[in-house]
Amino acid sequence: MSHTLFGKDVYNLNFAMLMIFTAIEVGAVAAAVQELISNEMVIFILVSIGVVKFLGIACVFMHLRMEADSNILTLTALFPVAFIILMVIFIGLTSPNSPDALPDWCRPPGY
Amino acid sequence: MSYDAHDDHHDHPSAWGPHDWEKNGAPHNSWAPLIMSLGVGVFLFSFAATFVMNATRNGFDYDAGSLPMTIVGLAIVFAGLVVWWRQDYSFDGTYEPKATGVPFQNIDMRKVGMWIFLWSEMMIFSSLFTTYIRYRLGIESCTSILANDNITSAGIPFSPGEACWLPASYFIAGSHSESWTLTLGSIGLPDTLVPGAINTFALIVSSFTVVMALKTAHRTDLDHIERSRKVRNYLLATMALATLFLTLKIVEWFIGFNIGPFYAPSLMDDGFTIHNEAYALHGEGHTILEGINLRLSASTFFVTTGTHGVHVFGGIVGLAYMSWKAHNGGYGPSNAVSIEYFGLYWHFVDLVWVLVFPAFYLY
Repeated sequence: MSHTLFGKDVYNLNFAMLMIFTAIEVGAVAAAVQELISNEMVIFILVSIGVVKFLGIACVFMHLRMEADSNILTLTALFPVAFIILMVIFIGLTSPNSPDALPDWCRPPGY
Repeated sequence: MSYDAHDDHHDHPSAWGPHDWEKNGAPHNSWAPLIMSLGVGVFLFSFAATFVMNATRNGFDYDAGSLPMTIVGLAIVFAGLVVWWRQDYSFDGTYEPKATGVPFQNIDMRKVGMWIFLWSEMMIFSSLFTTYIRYRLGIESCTSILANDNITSAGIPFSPGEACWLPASYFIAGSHSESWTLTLGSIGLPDTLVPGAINTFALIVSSFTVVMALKTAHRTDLDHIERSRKVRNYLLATMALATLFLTLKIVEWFIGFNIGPFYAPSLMDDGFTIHNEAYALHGEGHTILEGINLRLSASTFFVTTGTHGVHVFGGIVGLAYMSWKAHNGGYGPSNAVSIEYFGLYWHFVDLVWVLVFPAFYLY
């Protein structure tokens, strides 16, 4: 249960990292609203920080690293991830007509 | 007594609980999952039928006839929880069953079960995010149309009642906000973003308090009473933060707030609802885009954040039971993994919020 990084408890470090990065996210958006930084820069900051926070929670708090069974659990998680990637690529990113090209049976009356 | 030494041909643990672990070993049977599945099914069918879109499609009517079955569904779920808790309450970690199938040999069966559950949850939230990405990229932005003198990218004048994309962040984190109480130099935080920002920090802190509960339950340098008290307090802190999260969510959706210098109308007051087909978007000067259909934008936001909120509520129910068990000295080094497995669920809820917050609240 006890793990250290640079001589510090890794859970405490992860917690501090998450708090600081969240503050940066909020600050970046506040700056963008007042047009101090561009929208593209905000997207870059949010995506980059989101990935780091995601990994911090999954790897440290959820023990997908540092434990004896971490590798097998991480590898098995790739099974649903494969479906997720398919879904995001083939529906989320590459079907431009999907929002307004649903068949009639898939729409509420009047749409 | 090892788990293997248990002779389950002669002992028949109750599928209803309570369970005598010392006498009967690990239970191989429980009615709890079936009862809870039945209850959730009855609840969802009845709850969905409670809200009926009215004839003019500008709101909802309520069908009170579905209410009794909604309550019955909740009662069945609660009965399933009671069976589960009766079986779990006396668990002291003596008979932690291990998985035997490839590839999970010798991993705790409950841990494998929790991870499989979380993978199914990943699929649910991924479908919601895919929907968001598709709509966000596939529907033209309302602000772009407004900036183009109400002409769409296809060169056609925008017609009232048409859908265009107006993200929730426009109401929550945009210059639309009328009040900017928290400022640092030239950078300010819209008051409408305050509940979401507090919620983000609350969930991160709650993830940490679960970790602290687990670490404390593992400690052998504390006597049992002191350890139990600390574990209970960490779990209660987690529950308090989760309750704060849901309270602020309700404030943000339905109530709004006007406290001292802080002022933020609710999303409902702002007109960001799943039945608004005639929203008027005001731009700089006298520009205005009238008759915006907000149904898709609002539905995507409320369904995704609402699904996440339901998971937070589920966590609160679990934390209530675990706090009670901890209060009665139910957790120690031998069964601390129970907290770890709940922690996996709770960290997953935090993980989803890490994606929901920037995607729906900030951008």
